Amino acid sequence: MTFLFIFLVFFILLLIPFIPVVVELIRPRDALPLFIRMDYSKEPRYFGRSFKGILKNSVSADTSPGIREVKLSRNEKVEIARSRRIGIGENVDHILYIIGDLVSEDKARLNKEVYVTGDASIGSMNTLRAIACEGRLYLSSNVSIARWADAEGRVEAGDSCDLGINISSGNELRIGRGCKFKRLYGTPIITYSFEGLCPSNSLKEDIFEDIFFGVLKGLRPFMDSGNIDRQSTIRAVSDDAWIVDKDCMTVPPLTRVEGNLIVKKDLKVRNGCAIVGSIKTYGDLTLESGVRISGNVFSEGDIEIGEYSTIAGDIFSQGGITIKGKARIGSPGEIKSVIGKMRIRLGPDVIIYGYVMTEGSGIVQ
Amino acid sequence: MEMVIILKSYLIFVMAIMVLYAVRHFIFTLNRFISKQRIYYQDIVDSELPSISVLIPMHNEERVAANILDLLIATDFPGSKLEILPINDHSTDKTMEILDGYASRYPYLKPVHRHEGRRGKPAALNDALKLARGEVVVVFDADYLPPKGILRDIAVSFKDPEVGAVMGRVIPENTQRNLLTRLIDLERSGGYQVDQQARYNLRLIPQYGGTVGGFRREVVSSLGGFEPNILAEDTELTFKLLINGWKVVYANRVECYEEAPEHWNVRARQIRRWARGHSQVMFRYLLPLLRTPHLSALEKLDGLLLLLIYTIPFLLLTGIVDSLSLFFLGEMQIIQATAVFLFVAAFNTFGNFASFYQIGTASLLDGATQRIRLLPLLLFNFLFNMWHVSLGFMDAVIDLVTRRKTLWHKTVRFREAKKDR
Repeated sequence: MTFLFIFLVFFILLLIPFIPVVVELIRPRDALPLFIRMDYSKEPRYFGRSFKGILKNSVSADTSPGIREVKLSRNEKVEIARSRRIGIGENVDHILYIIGDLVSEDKARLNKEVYVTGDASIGSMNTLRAIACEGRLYLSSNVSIARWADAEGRVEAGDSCDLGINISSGNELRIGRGCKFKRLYGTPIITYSFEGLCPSNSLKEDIFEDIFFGVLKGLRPFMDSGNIDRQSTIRAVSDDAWIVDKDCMTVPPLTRVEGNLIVKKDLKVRNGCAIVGSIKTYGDLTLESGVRISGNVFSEGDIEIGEYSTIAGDIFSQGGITIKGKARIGSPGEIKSVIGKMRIRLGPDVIIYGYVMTEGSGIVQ
Repeated sequence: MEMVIILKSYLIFVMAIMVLYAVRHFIFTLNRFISKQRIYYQDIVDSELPSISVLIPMHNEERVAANILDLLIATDFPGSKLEILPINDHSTDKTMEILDGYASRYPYLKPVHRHEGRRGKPAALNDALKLARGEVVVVFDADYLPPKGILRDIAVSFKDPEVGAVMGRVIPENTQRNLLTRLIDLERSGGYQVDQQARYNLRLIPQYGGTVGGFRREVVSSLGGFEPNILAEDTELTFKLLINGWKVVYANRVECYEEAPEHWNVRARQIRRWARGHSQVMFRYLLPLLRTPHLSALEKLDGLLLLLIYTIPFLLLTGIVDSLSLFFLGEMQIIQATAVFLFVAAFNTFGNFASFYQIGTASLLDGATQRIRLLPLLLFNFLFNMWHVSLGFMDAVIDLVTRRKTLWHKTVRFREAKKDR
């Protein structure tokens, strides 16, 4: 009898986990495949372009001035105006569709999205949700963007702005000192300069033109550098790539490395070196001043890029990235990326042709 | 008496192995829950992408060929850097006509028709590799449905000079079809969302899975391409690359739909082929893995456990037979304290292909929490897997001993053929 009771209890306990199974099989609540967005395509200016498309479609041809209710993802009030000036401290709680230019004075709050077909000038200490602009966009100091900003023309952000989760330009993106960001996109992105704005013709020079054909000749080859114990630390995985196991490796000043360099720990590249290839480090990577790299830079640790350094390819770090003054990333006519998972710090007069992204904090120092 | 000692020792050995795998799965699960996550390279925007050749092995794929070709044509990868090479591998249905129809409209789509030579994915890939011109080769199975941005996301990983191959995430598109597809969906979630991503996070060995992935063409060609007799060309490539100093990376956000088998007998053949191929790779690459100077001790341990993964169900099956024998011999009293711990721990590994906690965690991370109500059914799924994996392992042992030639069994498709091509 006791055995039967124990068996019954055991059997019931065994069946309990199958009750939800039976329920799910009879009335499925979660049987659909996991969602994949089939039309997803990487687009650094997605927010602005998507918003413009949705708003234009919704407003359609009737762009007569006034406030009306428009169906977007839900019903929203949209104010259509030929041009608009927002007064000091004014609060705007509806979407703005400005056919012309927008000017806002200090301390205004634009709590909904803004679309401007002309230029937009945003006053100091404004708070914006999001703005898309067909012309140029000027942000005064201490502007705070909650979501995103995008302009077809040049974008200029003054000092100490909070640039939200994404700021992009179809042209130049200039950022002042103390600005915080998550994602930047511009061709190019230029940080503030102590010497005033960078003249535009200086951006057209080919920054890599003579590096690997002229300067390289004067540099000492990597394998002749003396302090590299090739036998014990370096293994070739192919004709043009080495793996280095040493705890911390240093490439001596004015050395040229022709080939990819994969370092399993930290790597320091001293002043004036040139790498014709790409670098990957498992530890931290320090590039001193004036280092030139023709390929890409990848690191599992932090990356520090010294002043006047030039990198032709992408920079990617699972840690943080610090780019010091006057460094150049990418080159005109191309799009390259600087991706730092934990943080990105940009110094003065840094030029990046393309895209910058961090999941952590980004700041212009 | 000696036999009893052997049986008892074997049982303890099996339980210890089970515990080892339980710990491994538990570490991976915790890693996905609480540890720092490594990001993949999909956020890189670069105007200079490597040229790619997309290879799609097809043997009698008239049901699905048009779907994948239409989607690949619609991808956002620059046309000047793209070639698509569908491989008609001894098809006897309308696959050839379908491919030629597309080729007449899209010059960068160049079908490779194979009517001679050995049939099977490795041999087909070898032939196509000789014709491919891309710096990177991307492979899809014919039933896959690649999204618009997937080629760019795969290609960008080769900016990393160390990456030899990349693997994306596979998601079944026909989950709602029946119980089998729902269980496969759970297994896939655990395997990718937790297992592969954790191995990528821990810098261990994510596995190239032979589809939704790519590799450097010149590197693979220089390593001799694929061994036609091995039925798991993906696992072979993974270990070949690792042993020669290259890395495999996993891209969790590079997602692609597949068609999961809808019949148990089809699933059984698929699992048996995987187990056989994987075990063939184990026999061939176990020692080279342990000897290579390119991997750390932890990577080697992970590689070892990965190579042995299709051996474990066989060990467990024989362990169960062993324990039953001991039970009927009245010899179940083993070292008591150790046995209790091992029994409990080994119980937790039940279904070591995708342990319960991995799948539960994966469902949570995917935001699909209701489907974990089916978790208890994985008990039966595991028994099914254990049997067919054991058969596959035995096949591989016979392959090793007899050096016989293997035959590739294609997975049956269930999708309705596209009408308007």
